Amino acid sequence: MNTLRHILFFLLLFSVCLTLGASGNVKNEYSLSGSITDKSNGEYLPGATVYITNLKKGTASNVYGYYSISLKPDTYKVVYSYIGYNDITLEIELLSDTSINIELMPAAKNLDEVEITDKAVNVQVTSTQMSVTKMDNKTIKSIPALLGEVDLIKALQLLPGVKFAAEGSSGISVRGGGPDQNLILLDEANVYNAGHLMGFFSVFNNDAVKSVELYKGDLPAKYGGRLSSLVDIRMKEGNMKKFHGNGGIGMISSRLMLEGPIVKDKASFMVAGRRSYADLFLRLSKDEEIKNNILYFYDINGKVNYRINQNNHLYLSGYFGKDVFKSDFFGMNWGNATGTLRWNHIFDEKLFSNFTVVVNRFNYNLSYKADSPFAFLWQSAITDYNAKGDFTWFANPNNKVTFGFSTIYHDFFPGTIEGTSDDSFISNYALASNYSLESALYLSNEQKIGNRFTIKYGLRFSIFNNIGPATVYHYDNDGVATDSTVYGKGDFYHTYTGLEPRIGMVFLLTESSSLKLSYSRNNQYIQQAQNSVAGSPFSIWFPSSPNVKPQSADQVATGYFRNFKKGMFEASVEVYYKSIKNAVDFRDFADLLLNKFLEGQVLEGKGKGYGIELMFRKNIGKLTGWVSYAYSRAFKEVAGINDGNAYPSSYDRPNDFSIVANYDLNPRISFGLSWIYLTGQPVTFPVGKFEYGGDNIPVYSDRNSYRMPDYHRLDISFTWRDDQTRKKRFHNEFNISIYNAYNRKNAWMINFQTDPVDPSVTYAEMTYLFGIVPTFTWNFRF
Amino acid sequence: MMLGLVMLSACTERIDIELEEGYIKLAVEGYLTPDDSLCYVRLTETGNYFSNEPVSVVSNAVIKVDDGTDTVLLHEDFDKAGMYLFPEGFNGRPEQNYTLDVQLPEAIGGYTEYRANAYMPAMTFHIDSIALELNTSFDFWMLTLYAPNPPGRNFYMLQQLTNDSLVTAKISEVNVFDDEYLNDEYFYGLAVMGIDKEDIQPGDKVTLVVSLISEDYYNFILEAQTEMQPHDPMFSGPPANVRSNVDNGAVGYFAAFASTSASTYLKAK
Repeated sequence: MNTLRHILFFLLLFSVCLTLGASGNVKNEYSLSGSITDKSNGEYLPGATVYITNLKKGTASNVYGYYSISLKPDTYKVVYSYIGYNDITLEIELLSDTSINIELMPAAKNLDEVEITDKAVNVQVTSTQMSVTKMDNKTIKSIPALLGEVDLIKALQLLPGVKFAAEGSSGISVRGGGPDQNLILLDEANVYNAGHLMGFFSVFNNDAVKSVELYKGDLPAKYGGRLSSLVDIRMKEGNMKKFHGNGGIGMISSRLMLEGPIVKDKASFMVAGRRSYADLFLRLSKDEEIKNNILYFYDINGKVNYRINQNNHLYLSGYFGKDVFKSDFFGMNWGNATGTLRWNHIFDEKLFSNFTVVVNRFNYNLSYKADSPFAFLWQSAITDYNAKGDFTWFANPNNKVTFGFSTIYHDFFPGTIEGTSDDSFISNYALASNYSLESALYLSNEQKIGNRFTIKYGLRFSIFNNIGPATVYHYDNDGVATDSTVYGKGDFYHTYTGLEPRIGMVFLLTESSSLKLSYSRNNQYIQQAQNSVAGSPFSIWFPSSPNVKPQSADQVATGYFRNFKKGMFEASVEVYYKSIKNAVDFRDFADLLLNKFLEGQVLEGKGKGYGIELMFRKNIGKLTGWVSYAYSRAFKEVAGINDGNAYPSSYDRPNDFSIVANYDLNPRISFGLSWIYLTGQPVTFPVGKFEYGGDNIPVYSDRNSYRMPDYHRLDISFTWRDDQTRKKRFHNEFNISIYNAYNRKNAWMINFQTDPVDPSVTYAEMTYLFGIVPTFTWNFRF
Repeated sequence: MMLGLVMLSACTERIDIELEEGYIKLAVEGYLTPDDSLCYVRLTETGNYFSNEPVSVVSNAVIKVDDGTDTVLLHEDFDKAGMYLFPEGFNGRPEQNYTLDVQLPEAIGGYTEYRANAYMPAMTFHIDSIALELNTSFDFWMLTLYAPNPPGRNFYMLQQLTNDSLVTAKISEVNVFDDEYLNDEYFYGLAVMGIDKEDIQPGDKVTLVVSLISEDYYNFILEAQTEMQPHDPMFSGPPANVRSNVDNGAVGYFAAFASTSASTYLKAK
């Protein structure tokens, strides 16, 4: 009842604000709308700016490159701009609703001399959105990469407030949260496991990626379901103008991307593939056992899009990836598959819509194949079916309203194990599948009040239903099942609802500086059953239920944003505080796999995090990149862990310093550098030992009361290209990268060993994964 | 195995870590079985982790064991300080609850009195036979078991003797398993232990001792074994203190279990 009252109050307030915001502007206005695309390939440019010089105001294109602004009849000088592209300035006599599609040309790489109009709208400064960073595939590619595998997740790990879960891992911790608190979307499809080769490389082939945006907690109202972040990855749409391809041969994998028009300026395709070939090297081994092993990953991205007409656009995209390992005895494979169908429809100049249908699946299989009674096959999967509709209503010059719905049907298949030999000792054992529906309605408005102040206020109403058939166990305080209730097929046997307000405001101090403030609440209804730091693919996701409450995070952030030299430099300082309710953790020695009493292993507590993040970024010129520093802390407090006392989260790494730089000596030669410094990871070490059964058994400190040595690493790269201006069909690029250039031995794990010669002696031993790793990669395009 | 692949490129080296010292608790190692030669309680103190000195034993404690009807007083072994023995002729009985009470002459970890409860599970298991089979894939001897699988969920501890000498003398070396996922009815050639080919010779007598243990003791052994293994960031949960059935913050375990055994000989080829 309270929830309904809150929603009604919000709708009333919303209507009042919208009416007030519209007053005086609604009569005799016409829309100026259209799409903004890259002239070289026809791809939409999200975040491109449209600036009305007479009025000193403007707007930005949405994620599909669409813009709309309502203006009184008059003649306007309009500047269309996008960083790295040449501006277009038009004088427009607006006497009726007008649609103008703009094609911006990428700026010639004459580097520091790129002219930036002083009328350009600085999105970073003017947007109400906080804690967001966008990277395109060129930026990602310029960062030196481990074994030459360009990796967007590793690039994100260099941003302030974002850290790797463990060295080499594709898991990320955002503002101290766990890896399962990040919503990773590839063309709106949820990617549950973002790692190849046990997480050392991400599943995203940079050749197929157009851009990635990271939202650190302050999620737009249209997104939800995770506490820490949204990683919104968009695939390339495919070149509308001409056939084009690029690829490369590296030490780990080879890749090829092809794109081109199906019907010029009307329909295009993109297809990209990548395969690793570690197994080819294994065949060179003299050891027969190693020689016969198979170990590889591959992934395929594909997309077609069709502009039916000015008002309708269809996109169909998909991803399929797999990791495979086979030996004489063991076999395992895991992978994601996604499919997304989107329909952009413009109802009229003021109402833009997007309808999306998504299917995504992650599964893994493990098998023991020896001729043994213990031979088994173990399978697990999660599948989502998602439908959503998103609308943007450009109500008037001062109000942009977004609203929509989303519903996801989760099908959890936690696992089965079956004996696979005739004389098997293994009983077939299956955990029951479970089902749930995660739905949301949202409404948000971005309202300009005067020339300097903009406020965004929105509400997301989320509903989570558990659906039968199901057996729900009841647990005592020790997590032991004492009873159960059985629900029939189709029974909506438990429901959670949540109100998730999203508020942001920006006050322009000058045209190039602003102060921002935001507050957001995010609820998370599904989580990963995993208690290791880096994680592995072999873990399951499980939903909220009568036994597991939804996690909820409230985050407040404020910041100062400043652009210099007409957008060439961006600087920002952000301070945040977040508080988490019902934070999920697990009992000591939790049994998380193939356990029908998994929910009995769950402990709930609370968490908090706070920090300050500084970033200075240079976007244009011979030298580009950023310097960032974050000081942050993250704690958890869970009854049943650490005697109920607060302890640092495993991702609490107070000092986080990064430098990323790319220097184009000339159009043919570039140098790249990245350096990262992180406080050591919190760990639990033994502070004593006792004798039992002839062994020394450790007695541990409080949870995470020690730290690993601090982490730091320098990566460098050198890239040589042939003359790109020469009109030849085929162009080459050679890249040499050195990972960990000064050979820092960063501890990946520290263990305590008993000396085999003298068992009374114990010592600490660290394991580090990588010394200096040089790599050579050949890239080509045609 | 996957971790092994990751570790292909990894290197290890010793590292100096400064650990907190002076963390003292009572450690209890107690066993009660139907065989009185295997029954004792040993009291020690925890030691600093990097200490290379033997742990301190706890002498002059008063230890009683109560089976609900009778109470017996244990006496400290003259030759082994800190080792307390049951009175001669006292044996544990399956399906019986036992309470251990310890009173210390001086407080350790803030307490002088400690208590533990243990239940000895019913001995419903008997072995028909065991056999040694060569595993050609991995080139070691598999000790296989032929025995009826008792009904219900059972927890097993397995130890191995070669020529009547205990090979699995350490807690890290015993095997434990839970039969939840094993087919019922009969263990027909269930491989329960692996023996290095070099460790036994033709003519050697190999004995398998099977004990039915409580679920809590089974978990204690698993937890102890887990904490003696390296922790890695991919698969290991956070390190945690091994459970204990002794109260007031003591570590260790007072266990009660019954066992059965069978032997075989490695035949000359």
